[in-house]
Amino acid sequence: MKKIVLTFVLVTMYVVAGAQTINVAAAANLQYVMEEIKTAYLRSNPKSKINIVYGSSGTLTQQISNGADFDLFMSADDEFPLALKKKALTYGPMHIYAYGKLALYSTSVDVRRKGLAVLSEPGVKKIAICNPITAPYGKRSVELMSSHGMYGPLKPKIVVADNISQAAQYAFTGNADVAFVALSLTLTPEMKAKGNTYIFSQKLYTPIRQGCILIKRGAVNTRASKFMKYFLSPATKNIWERFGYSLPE
Amino acid sequence: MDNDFVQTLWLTGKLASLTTIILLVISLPIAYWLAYKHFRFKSVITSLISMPMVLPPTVLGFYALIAYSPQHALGRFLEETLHLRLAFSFEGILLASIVFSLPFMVQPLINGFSLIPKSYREAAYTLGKSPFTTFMKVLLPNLRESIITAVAMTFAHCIGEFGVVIMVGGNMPGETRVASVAIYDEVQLMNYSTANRYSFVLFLISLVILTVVYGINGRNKNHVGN
Repeated sequence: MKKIVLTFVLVTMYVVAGAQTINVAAAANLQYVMEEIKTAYLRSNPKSKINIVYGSSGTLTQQISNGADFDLFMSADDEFPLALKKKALTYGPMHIYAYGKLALYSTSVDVRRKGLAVLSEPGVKKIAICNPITAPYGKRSVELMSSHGMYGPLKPKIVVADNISQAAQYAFTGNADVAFVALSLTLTPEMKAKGNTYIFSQKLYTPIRQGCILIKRGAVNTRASKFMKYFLSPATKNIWERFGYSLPE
Repeated sequence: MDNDFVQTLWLTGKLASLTTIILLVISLPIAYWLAYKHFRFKSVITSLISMPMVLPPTVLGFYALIAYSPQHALGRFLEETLHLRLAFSFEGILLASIVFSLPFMVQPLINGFSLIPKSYREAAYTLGKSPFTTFMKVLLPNLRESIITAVAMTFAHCIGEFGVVIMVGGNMPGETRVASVAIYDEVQLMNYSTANRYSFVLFLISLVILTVVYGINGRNKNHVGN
């Protein structure tokens, strides 16, 4: 009997302790920048625990709609968070935390000068984008090609990755010659060392307004809103900019 | 929409059928060899063949991506000599699927070979038949049930393949977008009714295949009982 009580107490303590963690659903383009922001946050809040799950914004939205245990959602656009808000699954307003930049990345051809034109070269056989329906960066990639009348002709070369990290990884391994990626993903030492990047002018596509919102769970997770305030604050400005994001005025 | 549905199912069937046919051809000699021959490191070979049963598909998917890449030896060779790039192509998922389903074909065949009484082979040899004739005329007919089981299990397993395809497939309609991937996609997009249509078809096919397999196995047991 004592053992059972002890086990029960331990489990309860574990569950309560678990409630202190912040579970974040973050768009895949954030996977490097958020690790850095998390580390910076934990330095001043050593008792907090932050779990970040990365995926395409659409996938994460679908998981949250089906009751996934997240406290905070960081999308790659401003539509998926609002869709969740409409379903009354969120707390408070959506905040735009950064503007993302679209880039081309390649480990087999030189994309630095040519930009879009490189895609039509015969040497470029496979072009990776991420799913335009579930990933906002994929949507912008298609938009960009379409506005230059290139989407139709290029379609046979296009390979669709599940999320933006997978698209980057297809180009990193050389299975795709070029990939449409988030600039933030190309700025790690490994990616820089192995390939080259072309950054599109932000005038060429609809701005990638990346929004975040708190997710409704049993009780309000004050730690999550504290963490959100932190990465929205000027304290993180340097980190965001170092990873190629621009910040809202 | 309907076109997509038919195309995806057709592609799924094509992948499963081709995998099964190719595997049957290469697995018969492999299983024969493993069932009757004794040699060093036999357990290592048997383990290697069975690995896909225990390894996560992502392991194979990962190695396939590396191997297929034109930046590595195999990928470069294929690209330069055959102008073939395996990643994101039907050939690529077919090759991965063959490797991945190998144990589902080989294992039942080994079992089948070992169940045939040794005296059958010995009688054939005594009558002056070559190993090949013995294989074709004596062993194969006695292997019928095992072949049906192996073919059905391989086919069913191929239809259920997901992890490898999503890693090396690139989700190209008509090329690598098989039903299991389509279901994943449709769920992401919250098209639950389309996801349900695919899922129901796969459910039915798998049920029919497994019923056939268990039906045959059950009948065998009755024979032995009699």
